[in-house]
Amino acid sequence: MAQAINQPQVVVDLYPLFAAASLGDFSKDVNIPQQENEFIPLYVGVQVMVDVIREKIAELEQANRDVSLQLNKTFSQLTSIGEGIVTLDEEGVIRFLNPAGEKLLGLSDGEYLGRKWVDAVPLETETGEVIESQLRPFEDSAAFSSEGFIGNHLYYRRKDESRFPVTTTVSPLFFEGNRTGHIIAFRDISRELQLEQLKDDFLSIAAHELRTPLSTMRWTMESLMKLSQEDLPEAVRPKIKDLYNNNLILISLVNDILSVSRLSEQKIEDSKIIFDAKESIEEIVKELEMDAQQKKVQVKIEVKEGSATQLQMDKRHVGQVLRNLISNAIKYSFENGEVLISINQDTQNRQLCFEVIDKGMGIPQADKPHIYKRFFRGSNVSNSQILGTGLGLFVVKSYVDHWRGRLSFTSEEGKGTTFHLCLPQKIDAT
Amino acid sequence: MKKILIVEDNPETSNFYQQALQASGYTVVCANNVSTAKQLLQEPTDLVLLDIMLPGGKNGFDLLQDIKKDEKLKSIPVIMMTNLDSEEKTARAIGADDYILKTDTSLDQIVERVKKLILEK
Repeated sequence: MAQAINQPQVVVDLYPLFAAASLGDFSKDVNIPQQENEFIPLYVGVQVMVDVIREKIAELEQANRDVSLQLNKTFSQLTSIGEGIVTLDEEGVIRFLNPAGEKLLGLSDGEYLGRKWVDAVPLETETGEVIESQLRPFEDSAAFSSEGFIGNHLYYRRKDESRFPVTTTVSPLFFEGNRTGHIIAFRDISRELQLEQLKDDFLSIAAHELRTPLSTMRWTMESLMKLSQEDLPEAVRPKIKDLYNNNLILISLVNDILSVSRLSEQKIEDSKIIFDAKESIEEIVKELEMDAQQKKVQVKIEVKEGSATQLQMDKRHVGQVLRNLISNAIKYSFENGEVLISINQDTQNRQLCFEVIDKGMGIPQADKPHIYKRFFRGSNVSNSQILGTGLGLFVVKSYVDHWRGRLSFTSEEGKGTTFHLCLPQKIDAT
Repeated sequence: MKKILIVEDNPETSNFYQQALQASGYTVVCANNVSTAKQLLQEPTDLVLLDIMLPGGKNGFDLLQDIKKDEKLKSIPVIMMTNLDSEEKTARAIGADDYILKTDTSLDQIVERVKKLILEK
């Protein structure tokens, strides 16, 4: 054994190769002896090992080039992208902020690297209320919306104390299954808000301008209908009633269209006035009297004994909901039908519950899942002479959801429908 | 006899209120802008029906604010009469006693609400 190890020629042949390899140089090949000897397998083995190492090095170099290329690509995307991108480590310390982010926030790299994001960039609500740091950096706009910041845009405050409305998305960063920080993408939404404001203003003005002639028409016809038989020919009276009725339909349509737009953008401004829901229902029934008379439908209002019928909510919006339900009940009743509106106070849940019951056409089974969809009309009414837009129940459902009330119905085609509605007697925050 | 001040720039609309209120026994005076309304408020007034959009630089909110800040006038009930449906919160915050969306309200209902507020006064 000792003799074999001491074979000097093997050491002489392989030493330069190992010496170069120890310095990272694998370019040398093994000089395999021509004559047969017992060390040939060793020479060949070392050569194979060198070949494999060279191959692995080439693969690693290629992988390195690929990573560099990818990094360059990502970096140039991050630097050229219009949105601000910030990466934070687990402690919320800023590790990278792209140029768009720097520009939006008015920061240069020396001013933020190594600082906590929550300290470098304050986040606040529309009214200037600063969002506490423990709620951040998870400042995902969507998460804030579900936390009750709906309708309140969030703002980032710049170094120079100016601020801009922002929308953000936050994604966690993981490495080998462990959370290593966050990446926040943010965008200035001033322009969107301006456009939204323009649209809101346009809607309000358009609604105002539509309503002005509608109210004049309403009152003109009300005045005409009060004229005595001598002043108003009897033949004309039904036509004026017709006009009056259509005018009310138009008014209701303008209200519903405007509500659809505001509800879909969650821009409902509720006032909180104490009013008597029973009185509201009586007013609505009076307004719909002519519809009921035309179909000879009897409308009854019942209040469960001992029920307090006051609500502290937006009277007009509640009226719009009740009007839609009552108007539908009359509209879809058969001739000589009956509509019952019952009011019942649920003192335990501090709710006021309503039932609007008709014995009319009912809702076909297949249509039931769709009745709250915008513009949906039941298959048994869409071809009938009964006018409708398919907006009413969408508006009703949207308001009830907005108030966190309850709405359900039971219905049998050809036998009638009952809507159950429960509203909080007092709205604390909407 | 109770006196109502109508502040409304649309003469047709103003006329409707006037006729309905007079038929119910009220005395009515009319103004079509804020400065005329202020002059008329020098005289005892029992209720104001006030439009929001008015000509002449000052709107219904300005007059509402002036009335509710004035020691002599602040007890006068004010009903905002408008076709703007998104201003009720603002109007109530300033001190409006009622807010009526014109299209949604019949002349009889307007008279009822006037009566109710005058009785509550």
